[in-house]
Amino acid sequence: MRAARGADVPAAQASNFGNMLTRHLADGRDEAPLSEALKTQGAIVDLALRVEKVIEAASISSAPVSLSEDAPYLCALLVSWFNSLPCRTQVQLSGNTMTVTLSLSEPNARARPARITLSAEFYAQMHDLAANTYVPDSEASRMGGAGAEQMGLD
Amino acid sequence: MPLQELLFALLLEPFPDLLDGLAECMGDPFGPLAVPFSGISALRAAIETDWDWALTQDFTQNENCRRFWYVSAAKLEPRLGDRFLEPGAELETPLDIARRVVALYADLPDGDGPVSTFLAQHPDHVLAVQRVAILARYPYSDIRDNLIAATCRPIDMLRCKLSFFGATKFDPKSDLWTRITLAQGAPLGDELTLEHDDWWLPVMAQ
Repeated sequence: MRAARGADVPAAQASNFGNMLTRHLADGRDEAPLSEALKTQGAIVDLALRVEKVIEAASISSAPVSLSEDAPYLCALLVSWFNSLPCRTQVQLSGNTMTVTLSLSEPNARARPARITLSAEFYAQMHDLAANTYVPDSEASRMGGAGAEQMGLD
Repeated sequence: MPLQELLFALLLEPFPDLLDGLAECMGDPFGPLAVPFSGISALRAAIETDWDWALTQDFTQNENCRRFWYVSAAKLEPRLGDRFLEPGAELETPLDIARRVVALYADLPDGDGPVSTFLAQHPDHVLAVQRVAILARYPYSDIRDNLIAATCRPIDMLRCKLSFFGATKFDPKSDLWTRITLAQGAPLGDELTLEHDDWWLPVMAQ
């Protein structure tokens, strides 16, 4: 989530991207599409909006929604994004077209996610992006930190 | 209420074979199941119903948005800054929910229409829309206070959160931190035995 925020993605979309990332990797899928999305200006915001439109359509009708995506990395991320939603989701992928069925009133099946292992390169990419969201120390921040006025007394 | 919770715990704890497995499914990797709004009108109505307290806040007043929450580069811990005196407000952690909902409300177009069409033009409002949708379904999901006001006291939220972990004997040292007691009366390492199971929530050390 912080890596996406560090890539200038708005807060909610970054948070949803973080959920999707966890699901994507826990499902044993390739980290390259995640890395590509973090590098591509507007990709994550666009993915979030496309998912939002499908959710909106599902709130009106229970009919499956079809959408297509030519870029393989975005197609892979869309599948993971739908699978990371809190509602029950069915995604059928055929080539670059997917058919999505959402049951908004039914929770997604909960299961303990598998352990996630990141490559050193991808970890470094996320670490560096996340660092863009941290505020450098200042005298004011040191004095305003929790317990600052009590330091040294314990 | 605490007595009721204590009674529940004492009734449950003797049966680990029945209960321990449930811990496996207590995590929520997906988040809340919020229902999307049918349109702009429904979104506007939800804000007017559930966020009326926020709509009374005037965020053009410095005192109503003086604070900003951030993560310090030095310690990677959450901190509070003064937006008008300190650098870093552009990197603030998005805890300014009330301000965001007020900004969303101000930008909503007249009439009705799909929320997604509006969000395509205003991607920065997605977080506020999500929070409004979540609160519409889960009444206790949001803190109904302006967390960036000069008057915000983090200690109030901290005490609430710590109480969920079983903290007792709160001893606030400032508006930012408090000493607490956890596991009071629990046996020390050298006192642990297989039979040592009678220390549950003693009111004072034995």
